[in-house]
Amino acid sequence: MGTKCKKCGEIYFPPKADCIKCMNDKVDWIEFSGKGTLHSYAKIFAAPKGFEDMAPYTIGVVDLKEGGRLLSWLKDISDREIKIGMPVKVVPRIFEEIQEIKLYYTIEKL
Amino acid sequence: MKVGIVGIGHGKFGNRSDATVQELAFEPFKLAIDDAKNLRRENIDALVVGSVPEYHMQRSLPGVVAEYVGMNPKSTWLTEAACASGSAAIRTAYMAIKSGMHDIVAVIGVQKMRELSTAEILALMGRVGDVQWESIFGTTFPGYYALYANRHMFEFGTTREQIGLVALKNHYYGSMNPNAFFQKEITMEKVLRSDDVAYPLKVFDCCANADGAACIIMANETNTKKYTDTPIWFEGLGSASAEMSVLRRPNLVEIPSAIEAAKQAYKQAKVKPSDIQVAEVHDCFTIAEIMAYENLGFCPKGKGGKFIEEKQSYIGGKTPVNVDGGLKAKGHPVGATGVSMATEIVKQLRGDAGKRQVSGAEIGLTHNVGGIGQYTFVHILKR
Repeated sequence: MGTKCKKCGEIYFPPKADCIKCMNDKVDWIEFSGKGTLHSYAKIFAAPKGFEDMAPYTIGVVDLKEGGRLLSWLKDISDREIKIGMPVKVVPRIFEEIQEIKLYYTIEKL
Repeated sequence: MKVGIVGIGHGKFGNRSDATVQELAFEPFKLAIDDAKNLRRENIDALVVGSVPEYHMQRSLPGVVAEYVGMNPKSTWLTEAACASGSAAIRTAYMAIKSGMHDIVAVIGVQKMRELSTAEILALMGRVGDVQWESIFGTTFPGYYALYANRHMFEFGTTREQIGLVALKNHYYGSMNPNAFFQKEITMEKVLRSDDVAYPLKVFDCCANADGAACIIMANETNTKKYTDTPIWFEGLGSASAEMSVLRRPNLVEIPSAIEAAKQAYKQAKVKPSDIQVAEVHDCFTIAEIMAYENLGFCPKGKGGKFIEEKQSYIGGKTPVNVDGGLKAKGHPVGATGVSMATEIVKQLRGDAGKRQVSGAEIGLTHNVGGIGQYTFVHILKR
């Protein structure tokens, strides 16, 4: 889910309660298809505190079809398969094992 | 009324477990007073400290520094703009002098980072992104620059080797700088074989967290002429910001705040990028220096890789860059870096840079980036 400004129609992901563009504070929730293309990626080897056990992991930035961008982990895409510009889908997931993060999303092959 | 620099001081950067943060600040402050002509501490009106508070156990740094260097009861304050805090401090000192409120202002950039572990610093710096939508995925500072590097390579065909050449150059010049953390030359093999940090960036693509301090003493035109025979003048000061979240940036191949800050500085100084004879740029990562060449207009967009490959950023090239070793070889005590850059440009313009002197340099530039480009300050100095 992202937001759309009721006044100027600007679409946001991550969602925002206020519109940066026209300074309107009335927005609607809109559903995203989850489809997009991979804008860039980075494979993290030196992990920050709290993520040491997960490393290495790959983060990606996705240009979403509806507008806006998203950052998350790449899932089930091997290093050799990663190509900037490749079509991807964003899949909502429940992380039982990570206490702080209940529901999130991963970037997967379309 | 012009604003000039009358004195500079630079401490040793590196692992400084021998000194507290206020002791680190004292070293370059004393050197800067001695560097000026007949200047006494009592002549200084105010002290601006550039530093990032999160790294220190000590709270409210200007208080402890002002007491230790003996500046009480003069005015003192802190500026913070992440890794650009030092240049932000210079900008506020410039404003204070230009307004007529103060005549002579000391700027100390100081940081003690090695009290924290690398993992703690990675977490701290990773939160320079959006903590709600990015940091939860374990983003790191090198990780963000790796996103830029991969995209830059994709769009412009910049190669891994070209990016690595920045490290070779900066370690080469670092070997001529006694204040640098690392004073040894390195090879491409060493860069490419070093451990992965955030693909495609490796250990030798990253600057080191360091302790250190640097100081400049700035003054109005009358006092500049009074307290030095070799005045260096501020001719242009640019400052700009960019989206906190890289997700909201127009692209991931350039730092928009750097482009805007450079434009402002060139305009005020009435010079072109090709007029810059020596530059200090923010090479927190090798890819950052490649983007800096482009964002500052030293070469066209997308040609930064070629610029270093042709050695245009070496002494003898179009625009010598980071001939003191840059953040890469000097180390990056975040609050000190911007002030350190200014001291090097002053040395170059005075003709005092020794082995690494760019001969006849009259116009120099500093480019200090905070965070992942959330803040950029560009200063142009002239002899």
